Amino acid sequence: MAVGSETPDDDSWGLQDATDDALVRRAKLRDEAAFRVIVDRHGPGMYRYAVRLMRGSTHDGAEVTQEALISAWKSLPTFEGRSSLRTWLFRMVHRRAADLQRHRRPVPIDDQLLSRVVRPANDNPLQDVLDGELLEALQAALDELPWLQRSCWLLKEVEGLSYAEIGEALAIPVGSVRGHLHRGRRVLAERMARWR
Amino acid sequence: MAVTGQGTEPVVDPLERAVAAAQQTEPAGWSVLADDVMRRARALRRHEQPVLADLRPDGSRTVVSTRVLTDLLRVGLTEEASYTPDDLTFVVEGERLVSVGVSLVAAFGVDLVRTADEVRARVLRELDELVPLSKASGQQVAVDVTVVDVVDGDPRRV
Repeated sequence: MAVGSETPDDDSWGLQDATDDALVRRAKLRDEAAFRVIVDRHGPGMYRYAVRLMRGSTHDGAEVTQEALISAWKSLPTFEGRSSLRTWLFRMVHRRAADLQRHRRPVPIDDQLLSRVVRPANDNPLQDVLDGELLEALQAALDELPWLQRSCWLLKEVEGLSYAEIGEALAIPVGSVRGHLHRGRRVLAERMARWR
Repeated sequence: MAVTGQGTEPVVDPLERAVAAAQQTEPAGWSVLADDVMRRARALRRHEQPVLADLRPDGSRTVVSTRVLTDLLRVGLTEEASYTPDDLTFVVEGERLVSVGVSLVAAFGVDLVRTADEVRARVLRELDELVPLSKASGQQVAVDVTVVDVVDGDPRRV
């Protein structure tokens, strides 16, 4: 887990190992160190989701993620824990992304498309290149999906949320999640088939 | 990752390979973004009230924000492994602190009444230092403790 420069060193209670519930309790009471752990624990996934959802734009993804996390910091005192913290945070991201989508005209983002740092999974540069091309193809295919299909697919396949968690994050019934996911998977499989 | 195909060269499903790559991807600029979030969070002000901490004969006043009380009481109440605060509320009337509400999560098995007494005493000790005027004026601040949950283990971690 990445630890930011602003996390205090005197982590005598094992803040990094604390559960989300324990972190929320402390962050509700303005404990910035606890909030930083929440940000480092869940932020990268939120950011990854936001970037993919916003058509590969790291600029929009960063804006959406930042607004979602600030909104979470403000709203933590009223967080009742009806859903998991992770689901709640993805819900925040999705809402902010939807807001941005509504209020902004689409702009060309070719230069930002898939600006990324892929963690070195192996020492095979050729594989990294192939993965990069695959990711570009995936993003292009994702961009063709309707908003909810794209959201459901990303949350399920990339972020690993359950159907119920996706339903909570997107505020839609689980049955709808299944439907969107089924259609999204079918379209993506067709689009990616040429890579076989 | 599933591998399909029946030839000598295994053919990995491209969508599954793309998913695996996407799961490993970390978009650029995360650490800068995280620091920006923390900077903005720190700058935000939540609802806070002034509490008169000291009043000198010449009329000089020292006022402490309930934000400061929250920060210091939170720290003071997370030193024991048997309980941790879940919420802190303050009733302030005309800059005078009237009462403090402490919602508490306790470790399973502790004596809750004794724990509440410990918490109450601890809060009053802290307040004596933070807002000495309350004690000097002879007006006792009420400390209401509500145990909202018990957990198995150190409530600061679980």
